[in-house]
Amino acid sequence: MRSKATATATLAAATTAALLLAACGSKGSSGDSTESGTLTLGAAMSLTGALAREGALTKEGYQLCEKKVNATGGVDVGGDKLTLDIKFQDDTSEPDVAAQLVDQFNDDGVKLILSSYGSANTQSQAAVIERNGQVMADSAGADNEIFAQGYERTFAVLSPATEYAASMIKAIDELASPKPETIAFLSADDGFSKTGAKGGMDEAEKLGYEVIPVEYFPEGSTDVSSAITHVTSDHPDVVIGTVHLEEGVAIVKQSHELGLNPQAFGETVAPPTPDFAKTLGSLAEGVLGSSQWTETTKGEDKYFGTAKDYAADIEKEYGHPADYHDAEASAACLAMVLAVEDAGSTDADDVRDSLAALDTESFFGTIKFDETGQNIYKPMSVIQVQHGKVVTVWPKESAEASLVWPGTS
Amino acid sequence: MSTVTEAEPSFDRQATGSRLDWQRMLPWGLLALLMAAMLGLQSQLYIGQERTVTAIFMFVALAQAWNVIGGFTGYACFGQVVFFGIGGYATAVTMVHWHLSFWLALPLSGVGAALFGAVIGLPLLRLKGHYFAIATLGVAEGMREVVTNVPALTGGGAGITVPTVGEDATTAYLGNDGFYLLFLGIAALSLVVALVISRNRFGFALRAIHQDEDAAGAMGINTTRAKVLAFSISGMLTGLVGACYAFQQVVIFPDRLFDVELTVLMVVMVVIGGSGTVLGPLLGAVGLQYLSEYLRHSYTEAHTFILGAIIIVAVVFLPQGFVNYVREARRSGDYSLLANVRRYRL
Repeated sequence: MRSKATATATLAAATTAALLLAACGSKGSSGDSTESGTLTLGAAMSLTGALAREGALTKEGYQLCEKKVNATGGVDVGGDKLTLDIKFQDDTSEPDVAAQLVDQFNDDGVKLILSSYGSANTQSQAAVIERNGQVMADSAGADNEIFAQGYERTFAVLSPATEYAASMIKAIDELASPKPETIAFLSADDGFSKTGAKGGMDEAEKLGYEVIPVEYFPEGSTDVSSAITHVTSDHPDVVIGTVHLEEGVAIVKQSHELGLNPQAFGETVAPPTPDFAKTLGSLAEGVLGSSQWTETTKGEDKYFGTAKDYAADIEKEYGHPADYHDAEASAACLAMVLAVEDAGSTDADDVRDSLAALDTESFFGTIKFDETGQNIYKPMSVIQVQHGKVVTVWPKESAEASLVWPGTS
Repeated sequence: MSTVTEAEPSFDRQATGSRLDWQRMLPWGLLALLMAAMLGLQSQLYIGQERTVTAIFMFVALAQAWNVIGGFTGYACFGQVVFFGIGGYATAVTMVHWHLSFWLALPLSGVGAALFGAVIGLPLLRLKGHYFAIATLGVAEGMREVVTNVPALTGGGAGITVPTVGEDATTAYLGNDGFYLLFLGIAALSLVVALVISRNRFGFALRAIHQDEDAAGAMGINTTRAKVLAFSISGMLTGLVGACYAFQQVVIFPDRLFDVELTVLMVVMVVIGGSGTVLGPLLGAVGLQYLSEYLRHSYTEAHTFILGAIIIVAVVFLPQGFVNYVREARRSGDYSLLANVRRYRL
């Protein structure tokens, strides 16, 4: 019994000691850990877990930014050239971990943050950023909810979630002939998709279309037949899905099987992904999609050049075609770098003010923020799958091909 | 001589009595010491470290909660996360729709999770082994679907936001300092519950059920009542942790609140530390969470691979858990890990 008690005491003491050793500091942050001559940005990335694929693309975008900026000599801060250094950490695709890592960056004196992937992670991070007085350039959190909280230190370079479906409605309204009359909406039930569906429905109603009430299904569903059956009886002219890849594939495939044959399908996120056309084959023909960025996006900047230059750099560096996930990550990094240069300082408050005032053209299009921190000044692109390839059809000034209408045969 | 021989046993009894008192009180003293150390530690932590240690407290409580049903009672619950989700959503829903203070929502969530444990425990605890594990896993997955499909109440897949700012905020956000203390309190509560259970008749009943349920029943133990009560207590503790987590995160989603990975972590922490003991889950939770944090920080790309490998090695060499291994090794004087592996015929 004595030995048991001794062991218990020893182990408890060891536990206490281990925890005490883990913390050799004092309340607050440990101060600026950034080396002299270096501008350090923190990036909590989804490198493992459910969002690992998108997280890897986002990381590529940040890394390319680091490389391009440093190739020009670094970030110009009041005449001094600072080497850009991005510290990566894995948030395992979990919002709570993403938020925790932002706190840890703060401990290390890293006040300038590049966001994780996805709205849920970004939303968790934004709350911590605000509390700690850090600043975040958001590359992939599009949900308008993030910007309805009154935060003043998070700035998204990408168009808001409401624009995803709305841009397709605008493209159809402008380009389709004969014009459709009824539009049905199918949506996954996550925050981003629901916000996207609402934005699309508002736009459709504004433009005078008859809108069939939205049908929701759980995020990640591969069986959406129930939602399709509900809208089939309304014979919609256009079916818009605010979805991710797997749900987007299911909508087109199961609509075909269940006899729903509208003039066109339009889906957010899924069609620009190469896997979409590969998986669906001929069924993907004519499907519309919305994209934050394409190779024909207008604009140019001193680090990346044009969208075409950017696409070539991604191809050369990573051996695959440029994806909009790459581009939006590089754009967020670019916004942060330009804000630091404009501020002539790395102080978080100065950079925050500089980001709020940023108004620039880039390979990603216009980067400018409204009072909530959203980039409402950059139009989204609408693409269509034509002969197995993704081509930009809207806006007209960056279109690679004309809209094929009706989109379905 | 006779006086001496009579006096000796009397002295021994006194000594034995005081030693037993001392041994009885030792864990409580250590617990108090540990709590005092953790309170002192708070002032030495940076903000991010404070949050990391808060996460460790959370897992100490979760592991200890699972230990009540999985360790003491021997019913491996693979759906434990259902209580975490119920606790979290009960707090969010009551704060959003009923405008309750968090301090009212917290106990309600614990009671709700305990009642849910009693209701599903009655039928499910008639199953044993793999059947029980799979059934509880099914309950957790089913509950996630239920929560996802009542968006008017729970926000569905889009999540629900606990009001922490503005007019709707019924309780001010606690901040990192507040949540450190809150989770420390919940961890302490779970340790107290485990300590009490480990030493009273109820705890002995659970251990008897673990070893041979039929024999325990034959000895007069009301096995159904004991199992359901253990399941409810385990559910209540897990529900309380879920409630605190929901308030800490502000925005919660069904996928995370009912994430089976959380259950797996609880199980692994208890198994590696030593199931059916009080110290084992504590050491398992602290060790594994600390190791996980360290690896994530040091090996950004490969940390899950390394952690997985370490867990496999730990389970192979210490199948009975660290605390039980140390106990057995001290008793036998044989500290060889290979001998330990042979002993468990792995």
